[in-house]
Amino acid sequence: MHVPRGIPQLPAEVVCASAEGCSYLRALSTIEHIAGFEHTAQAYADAAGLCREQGCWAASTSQPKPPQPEAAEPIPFKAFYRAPRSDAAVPADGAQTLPFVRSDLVDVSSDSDGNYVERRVLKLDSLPQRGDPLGTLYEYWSDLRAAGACRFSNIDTVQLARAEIIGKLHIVDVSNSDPHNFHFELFGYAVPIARYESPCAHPVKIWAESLMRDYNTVRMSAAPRLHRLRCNLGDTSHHYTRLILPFHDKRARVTRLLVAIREEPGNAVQLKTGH
Amino acid sequence: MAKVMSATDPDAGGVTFKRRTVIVDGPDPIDQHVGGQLRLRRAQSGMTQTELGAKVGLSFQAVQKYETGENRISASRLYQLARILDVPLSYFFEGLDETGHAEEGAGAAELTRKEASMVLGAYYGIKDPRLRSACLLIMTRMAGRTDVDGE
Repeated sequence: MHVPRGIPQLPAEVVCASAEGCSYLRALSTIEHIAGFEHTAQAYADAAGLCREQGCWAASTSQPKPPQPEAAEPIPFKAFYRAPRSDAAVPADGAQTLPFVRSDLVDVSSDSDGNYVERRVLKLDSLPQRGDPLGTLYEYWSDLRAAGACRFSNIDTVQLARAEIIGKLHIVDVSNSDPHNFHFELFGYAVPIARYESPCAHPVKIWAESLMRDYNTVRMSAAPRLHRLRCNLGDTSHHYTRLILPFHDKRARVTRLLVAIREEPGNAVQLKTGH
Repeated sequence: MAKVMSATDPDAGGVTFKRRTVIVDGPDPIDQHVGGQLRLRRAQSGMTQTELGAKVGLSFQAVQKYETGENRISASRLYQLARILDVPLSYFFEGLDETGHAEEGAGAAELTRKEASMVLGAYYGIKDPRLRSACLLIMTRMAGRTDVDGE
């Protein structure tokens, strides 16, 4: 197969992350397969396999890499628990204390193991339309929706490749109404987070629950969602922005979600824990 | 409900042709095959549906429908598309046998690929390296091979 001309070249170490061949082309193959285009899926899969035999096509064509910054040092992190003070001083000026009401836009949860998840809902119009993978992807999805063509079989992988979002993209099957039965059909190979078959399988329960809740919200509302996430899962800190886009089947039921991720500075930093 | 008609062509040795409708029967397999080839070639050219549509004076939805086989491509349009995508007309029918069905090899290969993908997914889903090694050993023993001795 000819390598698609319109597909941007990625650094070789990103593309060849998988032992089964080119991860990038395999991801494209999976998307085509899910969309129901077996010819194209097979062609991409064949091309991915050729990487092992003939060398990586991206490595042979990619430009010299700019110097990479050194890996960030692990941030020392002390896990501790501070009990709430019962003898908090009353303000001297006699001001009344008001009950704290958590904003609907920010949701924070944590557990006794030191795991912590903070989700902030962002407005979709805050996405830049140019030069941003999530913005480009959202614009494409909006065009599909405006044309009444938000079925997954209508997806154009060339558009996804142009958005430079392959590898940071999950596809979630949400055809079952029970969030515990949601599962990943494609997990972004470049997303530095533990890979599980389904959201509920993640060992950090607060994380699994937040995923299921967000995915289910989009499934039920058929409206896209944009979140900023900051979380500590085990010994890793994650900072990223996440766009969830719904796609429906012939009966206008949301059955698949496209979850795209843009990493923010400080993502996937290892935390040193100690007491 | 669309009416389904049947007709017997005397020149075809008594073979009965049934008129298909997309709503009742779904897209015609040959249209789907042609659409699949169109999509493949478009992807190889790195062209979006919008760009291809603009070149032939169509919307991207029309290109989508051609690719899924929901809409049939007329002869003149197929000729235009072949010229734009720089392929012979026969390219769109490659892989179809004489009866107009997709060759079996392709389907069987696809099934094998899916199966292999499921096996790999399940294998790497096992987090414990010892368990993974044990699974590999079981599989190689069952396959009667001795060239892999686990991780």
